[in-house]
Amino acid sequence: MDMEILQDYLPEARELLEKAQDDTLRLESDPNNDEVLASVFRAFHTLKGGAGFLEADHLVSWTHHLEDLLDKLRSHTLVINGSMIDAILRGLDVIDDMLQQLACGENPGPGPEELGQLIQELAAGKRAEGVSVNGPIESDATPSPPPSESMLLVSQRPTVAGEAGLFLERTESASSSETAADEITDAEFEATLDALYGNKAPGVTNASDSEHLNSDEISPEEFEQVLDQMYGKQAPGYEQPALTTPVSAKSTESEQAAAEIAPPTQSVSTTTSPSPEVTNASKVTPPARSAAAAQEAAETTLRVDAARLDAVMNQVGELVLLRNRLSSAIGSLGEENEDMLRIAREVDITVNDIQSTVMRLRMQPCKRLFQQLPRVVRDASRQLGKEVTLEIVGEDVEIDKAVVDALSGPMTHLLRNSLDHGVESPADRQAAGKARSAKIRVAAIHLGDKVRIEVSDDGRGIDSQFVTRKAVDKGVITAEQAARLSEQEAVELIFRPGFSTNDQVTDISGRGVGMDVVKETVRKLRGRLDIETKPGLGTSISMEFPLTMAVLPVLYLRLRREIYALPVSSIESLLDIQENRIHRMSGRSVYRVDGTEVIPMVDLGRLLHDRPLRLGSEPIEGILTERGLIMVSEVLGNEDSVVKPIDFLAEQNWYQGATISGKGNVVLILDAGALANHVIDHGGDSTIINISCKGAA
Amino acid sequence: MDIQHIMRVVDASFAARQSIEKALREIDRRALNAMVLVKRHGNALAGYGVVAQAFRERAAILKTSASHLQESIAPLIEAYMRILQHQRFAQSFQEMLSDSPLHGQACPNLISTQNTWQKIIQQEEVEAVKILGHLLETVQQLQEGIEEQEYVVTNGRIEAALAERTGAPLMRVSRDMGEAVRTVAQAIRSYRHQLESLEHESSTRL
Repeated sequence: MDMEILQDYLPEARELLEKAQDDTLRLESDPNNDEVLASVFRAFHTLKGGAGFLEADHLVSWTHHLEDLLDKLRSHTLVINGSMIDAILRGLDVIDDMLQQLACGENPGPGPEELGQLIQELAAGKRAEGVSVNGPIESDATPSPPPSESMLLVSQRPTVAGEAGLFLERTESASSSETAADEITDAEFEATLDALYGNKAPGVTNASDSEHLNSDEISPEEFEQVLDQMYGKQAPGYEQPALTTPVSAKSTESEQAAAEIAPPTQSVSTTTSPSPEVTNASKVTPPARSAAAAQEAAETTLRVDAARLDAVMNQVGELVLLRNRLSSAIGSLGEENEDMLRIAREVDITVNDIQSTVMRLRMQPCKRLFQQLPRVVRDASRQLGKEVTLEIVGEDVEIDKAVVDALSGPMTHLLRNSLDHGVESPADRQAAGKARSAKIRVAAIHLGDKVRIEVSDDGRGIDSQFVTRKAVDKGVITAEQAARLSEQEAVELIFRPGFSTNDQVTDISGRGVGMDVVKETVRKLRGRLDIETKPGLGTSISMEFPLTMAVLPVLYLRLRREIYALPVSSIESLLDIQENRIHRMSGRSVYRVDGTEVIPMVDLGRLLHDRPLRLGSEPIEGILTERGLIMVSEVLGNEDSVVKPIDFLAEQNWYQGATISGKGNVVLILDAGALANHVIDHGGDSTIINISCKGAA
Repeated sequence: MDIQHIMRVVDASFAARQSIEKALREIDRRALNAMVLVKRHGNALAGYGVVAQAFRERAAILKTSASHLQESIAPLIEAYMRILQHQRFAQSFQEMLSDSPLHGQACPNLISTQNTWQKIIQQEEVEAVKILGHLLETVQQLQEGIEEQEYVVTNGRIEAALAERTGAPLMRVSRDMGEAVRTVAQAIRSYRHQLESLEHESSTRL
């Protein structure tokens, strides 16, 4: 296997696969869209071509069968139906597995025989009993007479090179009325191909047949030549989309117009039964891109190995640390030196610019993250017998590649969880006075230096009492801890490891892992997780992530003689601790921030030094975070830092990592969430603030 | 000048120091709060970030100026206490001369010593006035620093108004900053008043 070709092939193949899946799902609601059909066909064709070069015979064979099916759909020899969509989607999954095997350096094994057989039978028009999933799709898979535009003339004659060649000519119906005897349909063309090549058609290399290969076998190059001769510039996979399919000018214009007026919202209906509502779902039209624009994009786009970008990002991180040290060194100079100050300022600005530019290199649109979701919703809703409309907003919002990569699994968990637990069955929804079809909304919103990703549904919401009861039953928390929980804390129990409201494990949920994965992933990405629920109305889970993972703005603080850092993103504000605002509640020390907000106090002295801070006898300042008020000796200042992982600590600790301060010292970065959770879990022990000589408030 | 007056200055110094330290700490916290807020909003509040940074830097300068203030107070009090002590000495020699039946004839050394003390007191008073003048200069610098800080707060209000659409509570932050600056300004003004009354008394005496 040529590793260089493989390295080029894999990313392109994955993109093609993602696009093919996206397009296949679009075919469900828009089965007559020739452009989408052609796009899927091109994807399989290109996948097959690349696999041929890699000698991945089973992948070639698999994509060939799918290509065959798509070719007949594209030429309207067959009409698409639900069974075909299912088969194509499952076929895509098999290709995905094969690509993973390729990525591991293995030659992919054969795909599932049963599915392969099904795809071949569908392509041959032998399975007419397919179940239609959508109203507009006809369940009749009987080959229909090809349209007059698709009439082809085939002839076998020597090529320029003197070898035997197969020539195909497309003729207009008006001018070909007299050639009835010479004309063949696509089906006849296929039959001719079979007669010519038998089971050794280009790309088909069944293991059982391989020993019978003879001089009739053609190489991938020859296969491409045949295709070129057959289609000329209209060859499948050819880069000019306008020329690939016989789409009439009128329909193309109308689709372009639709693309122009379409709002930036994609709505994908995944109802499992034929329903007129499906047709109400807004039509998704692929962006109309001219060949020139595509060519221009190809010329100005460079595919770079992610590892190289990571290396650049790490180097920028080191540059940021050096910048901090330079600023600190100049700041500590005894007398002011204008030149040095100016140089420091210019270095500061330049490093910021470099950091910002490199950060943008790693940014990817959320579309990459969201494109798998329609499939997830479709499959899960079918499995659960629920009707769901998925709305996706903000696909263009960009976020760090690390976040996009890491969130793929959690997004699936969130959607499956929402479908399984949040969304009611159609009958229940009707009984509750809601529409039969539930709505799940996935949105990406740009907020300053953060991106918020929301997954919300209009389902039944979360019953905090039920959740608490289940958590106690499953031993996630004790009854005593349960008694101390606020309503919000009770709802957040769903993120605890091992928690599930299902008593039985199913394909969708029940293991108590999914939501824990969501929480852990958000924590690792230095994000923030929020949940909001209204019984009977729905649940919204939002995750906020920093735009970039490379640089972390931190606030330095002092606890007695030691310096720590806290991510700025977790800080609400800095407070002067007032004794009269400290209260005791359910065995915890709490602080009254204002008239409405009362939050737990986190005594950092007790947690980290095992010696509580004493208000009145030593300086104490408060850092208000979303989960609690952290008590420290002094707040020092902020800085942009670079996080260095600390792998040698126990799995559960209070640190996000370490950084190097401007003065060159290693400083531990505290995890505000972990600190607050510890206080919530361990109640009063760790949160009693000692008030010197005055007694507890 | 009497001991009561000096004690009032000592008390005022202590109160001013407490008040200024607390207010400067408050200013620093407000500035840090603003910088945290700015960081949380990314580049959208970059303009306000510059203001917050300037506010914090000015607060640090004010802190340094305030520490110079403290350095001058101790020598001033010491000088006045010494003047009072030496005035007592001079007074006692004066009383001895007054009580003597040969006043002005029999003890020329006593008169000379008494005159010497008077001269020493005068020199010390000049020195004390110098220290007081220096202290007032420091206070003046502190007040100028406060005025600059008020200018930064005004800039912050303008930036806050410009960045209002971001939804960040910058106007509240600016208002808090302004209040912290006003507290320092008031404490310093009150202290200056005390020092000026001392200067006035010292000048009258001279």
